[in-house]
Amino acid sequence: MAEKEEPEKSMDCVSETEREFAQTALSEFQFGNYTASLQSINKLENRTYDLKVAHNKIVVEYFKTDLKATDIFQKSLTSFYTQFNLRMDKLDDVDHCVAHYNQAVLLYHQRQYSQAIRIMERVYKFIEPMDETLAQQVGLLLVELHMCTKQLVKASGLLSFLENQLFNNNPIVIKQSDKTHKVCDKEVKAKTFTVSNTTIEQFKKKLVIYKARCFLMMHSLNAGSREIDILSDRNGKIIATTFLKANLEYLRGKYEEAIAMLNKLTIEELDSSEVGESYLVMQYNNLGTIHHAMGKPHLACHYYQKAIKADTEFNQKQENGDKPLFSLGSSKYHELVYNLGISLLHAGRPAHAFDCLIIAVRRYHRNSRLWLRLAECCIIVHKESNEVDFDIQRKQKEMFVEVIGSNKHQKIILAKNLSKDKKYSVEGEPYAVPVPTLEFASLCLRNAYLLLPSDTSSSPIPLLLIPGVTPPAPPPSPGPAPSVPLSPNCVAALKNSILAASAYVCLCLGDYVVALEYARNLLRQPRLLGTHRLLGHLYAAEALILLDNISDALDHLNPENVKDISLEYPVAEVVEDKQNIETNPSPKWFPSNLASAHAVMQYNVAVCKTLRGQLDQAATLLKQIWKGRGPNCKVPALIIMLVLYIELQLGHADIARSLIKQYSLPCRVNG
Amino acid sequence: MALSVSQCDILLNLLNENNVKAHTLEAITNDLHKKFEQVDYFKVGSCLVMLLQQDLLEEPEQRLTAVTLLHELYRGEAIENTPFANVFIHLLHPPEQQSNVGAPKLEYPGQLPKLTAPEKNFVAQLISDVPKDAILKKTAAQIINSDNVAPTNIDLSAIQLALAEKQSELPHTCRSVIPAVIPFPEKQTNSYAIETDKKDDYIQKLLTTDSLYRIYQPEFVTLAPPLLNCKDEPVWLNVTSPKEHTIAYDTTMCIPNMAGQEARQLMTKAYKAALSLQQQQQLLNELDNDSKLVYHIGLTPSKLPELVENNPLIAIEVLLKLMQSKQITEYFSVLVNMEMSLHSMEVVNRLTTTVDLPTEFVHLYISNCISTCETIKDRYMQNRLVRLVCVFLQSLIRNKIINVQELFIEVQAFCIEFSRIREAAALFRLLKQLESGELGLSMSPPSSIKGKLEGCK
Repeated sequence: MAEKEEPEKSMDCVSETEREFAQTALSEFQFGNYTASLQSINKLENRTYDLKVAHNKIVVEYFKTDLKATDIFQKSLTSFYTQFNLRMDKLDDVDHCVAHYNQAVLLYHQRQYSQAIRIMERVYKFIEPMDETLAQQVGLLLVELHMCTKQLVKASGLLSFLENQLFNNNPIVIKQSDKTHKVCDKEVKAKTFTVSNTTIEQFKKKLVIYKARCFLMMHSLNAGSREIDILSDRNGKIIATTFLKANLEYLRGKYEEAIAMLNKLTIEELDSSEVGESYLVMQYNNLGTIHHAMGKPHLACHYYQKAIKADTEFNQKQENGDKPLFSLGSSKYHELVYNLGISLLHAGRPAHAFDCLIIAVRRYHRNSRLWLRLAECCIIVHKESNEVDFDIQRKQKEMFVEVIGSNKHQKIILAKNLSKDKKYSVEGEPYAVPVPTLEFASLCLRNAYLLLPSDTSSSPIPLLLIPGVTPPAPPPSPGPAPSVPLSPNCVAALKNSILAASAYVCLCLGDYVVALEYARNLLRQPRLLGTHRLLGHLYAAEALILLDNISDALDHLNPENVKDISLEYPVAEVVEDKQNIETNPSPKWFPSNLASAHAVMQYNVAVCKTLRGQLDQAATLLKQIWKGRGPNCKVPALIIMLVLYIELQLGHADIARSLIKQYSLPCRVNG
Repeated sequence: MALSVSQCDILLNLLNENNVKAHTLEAITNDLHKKFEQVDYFKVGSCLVMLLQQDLLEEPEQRLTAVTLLHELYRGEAIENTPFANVFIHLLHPPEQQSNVGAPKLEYPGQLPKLTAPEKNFVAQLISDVPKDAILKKTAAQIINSDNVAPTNIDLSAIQLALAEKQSELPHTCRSVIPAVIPFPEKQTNSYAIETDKKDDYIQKLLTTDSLYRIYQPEFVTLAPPLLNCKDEPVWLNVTSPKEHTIAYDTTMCIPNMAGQEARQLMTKAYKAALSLQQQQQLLNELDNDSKLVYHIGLTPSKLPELVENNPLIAIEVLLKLMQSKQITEYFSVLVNMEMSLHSMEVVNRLTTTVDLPTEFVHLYISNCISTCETIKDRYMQNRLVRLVCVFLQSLIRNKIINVQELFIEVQAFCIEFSRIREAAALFRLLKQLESGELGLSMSPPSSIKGKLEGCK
């Protein structure tokens, strides 16, 4: 104890000359004369015990290199910590806050957000005793970090704290019963407004921008719109406002307006060599995003590719010499590649999409939806569309693989299987190789399921703490970063999609016990789209067949089970969710109508009956399906093959032969 | 998977018309065992079945030899355990070919050739338990031409039953498989003569490629799921101004906080010994005058226990001023975990009457108090502490700081354990009154606690 007090005392003991040196150093620093500032600080060298002098020395040295010698600064900062016996994970003195803050700033620019947040949460505890300028910087950095990690509730809470607490210091809420406690309002106000008014104005402006961004990310469009109005009233035209306005229009579904706004930006406005981020990249990217929402994924890809090119150029330009601190994290490559991947997937280019998303997943490996998207790429590479199952013309060419022999001994060899979904691999292929295969998809889906955002993410803050040491914050619950967080509805939809895809992949890989589990789990979900209900029943039935339980399978195939095949939740439920935004391209799926879906179910019923040996019943059912076909009711192409099979099993070889003749190319079969 | 071309040739030579006519069945069988390894037996068997099914063996001798070879492949094994057992049953009991008169002949996929009575007889003998040496010594032609048409009384029902049982264990999907090779004879006879070598070609093609095992079974339509449909998935980029977050210079360098100097010094003293009334007043005044001063007097959570022990009054005031601070939970947790004493209890009591403390904090503190009382060894100290805790609890209950219901059992057990002490008995009575609803709990001013606590010393 006694040792510790010695330097403390001497830190407070400052001679008049020393104070002057310090003042010169500060004002020179503020004017940007770092050399002069450093000279003044060097005159304070005899204060070796004073950590503030040592701290400022390395700070000014760093500024002298135009914030380019980041590595050296990091090294000096670390040795500064050891020199003064400070610990990065412990903070109990307000005087040490600056150093911790600086460390967090470094981490922020290096995009190590979680670690930066851990430090900043400790620093934040001292926001009251801190001097105002630092308090503002600390507040804003923490808000930005929360927004980077998409913890929007925390960010908006902090924003309102910064707004209220820093300027209108509210007195402590004292219980009414105690009247002896004195509250000194006057002093409180007098003290708080020590900062100049212009600084406050500037800070307020920054707060408004943050609030607007935060509200838009939270999809609180009205609140966001209010902040944007304030922003344009006060500041006239700045580029940040334009992007925010376009964002608002985009979220409202007014795509044309949003595009017009972004296209109005001039080259001069988009020049951003000084700010550490590229406006051009933003413009391209956001145009891509809008086109994606409009259901034009190819155009979107075009814009994203331009954005990626611009991003590379922007970052190469600064490669000459070391990068200054603030542009270390300026590359938006991973976000852009992510966007590009999503659009490519929608554009029906799953293999390319896979390549993009596999890059994105390296950075956003806790994103459940991203893992699902990867699996979707694999599935589409495996099966482009369900339309092939209904394409009779194409299937009938595939029905017979070969004609062998001639005359009396002519043989026709049937295709082993017409539907190409199943892919039972005999060789133990490694699942973890990142190639668009079903094996890899099953791995992706497992990740996706495990990373589903849970409701119980907020763990209570433990009461028992070691003084001064914050326990390592629990890792933020996995979210869909880099996208905005999901509403409960979206999480439900995501979960259902993961279950459906898992069941499909398992069926295709021959893992039908697991497939049945997934299908049943899917059918148990409380909020189920019509399509997912259809798929759940189909997958469950098929898995049950393979488990030789035909009667249960037939229960699942009852057409009464499926009454619609919608791909979107009804509007009423969406409004309940307060999600009045419209930014998804309209979903597409085949079969597109209920009649075709029922035809599929009926066909599968016929398969069940055939397997059971009820050939006549199956044949009647197939006739019925065949009669019902039309432009609004597609029937599975496999139906012909099944009819052929039934005729063969019944011993009607002549009928079977005439069917073959009818449906295979005449040139291939003689007779 | 299938036989190689040369293996196929060997097999076809074995079944060659001249060969089967010239040799006894036994000789051909021995030849087969010499020419093929055991690993290839299944392939050979599959080829034989294919030859029979597709009617590729012209002569009855060839067919009979093929059937014999199929059996002899697995010589010595129980017939129901061999893979081709069903073939023999089918041969003996072919499906009906005529559904009703006038209807076209029924023809099933994978149908086997029809056998004559002597042939059937031979097959039945083959698969039954009787010794076969005699019949195998004959040539195929001898068997076919034998006039042994009398139905043999060989009972095959045991074998049939075993096979049927085996079959029923298979899932429906396996049972419904048909061979994918379908005979499709051309109707109009070709004017050219059949080129025999061509026939060999396509037999080879059937036997040595995957066609041999090719099967068809009814297929399900498996629909792939749609893409997830979700809103606001692509990232929108907004201006973030990373430049705003920059390295900070410590502006407080060499600027000692003069305003707090005196308060700081007083605090340093306050950790070690009780301050005089005058000093206390001075410190409190300074803290009152500047609401932010409390953060600059050098107090940290770890120093709080010393302050509480030496200057509880100061501690109370300081904590009240820190209520809004982000660090207050840390101060609370220190307070809960410090050694129980009159002073700490006084501080907690004052806090409870002045501000809303987190319930869990108050409960934790009470639990700690009770367990300290129970574990302390010194009897005198124990009595003292118990009396303190009782008065403290009474005060908390009367001021409705805590909801007794939540701690009822714990507190009641405490009262019973120390019922020898007067205050504990009083607390017990209070609990009972509360339970019966006698006490409205609207009276008793909170101020008197301190006097009472002092009285217990």
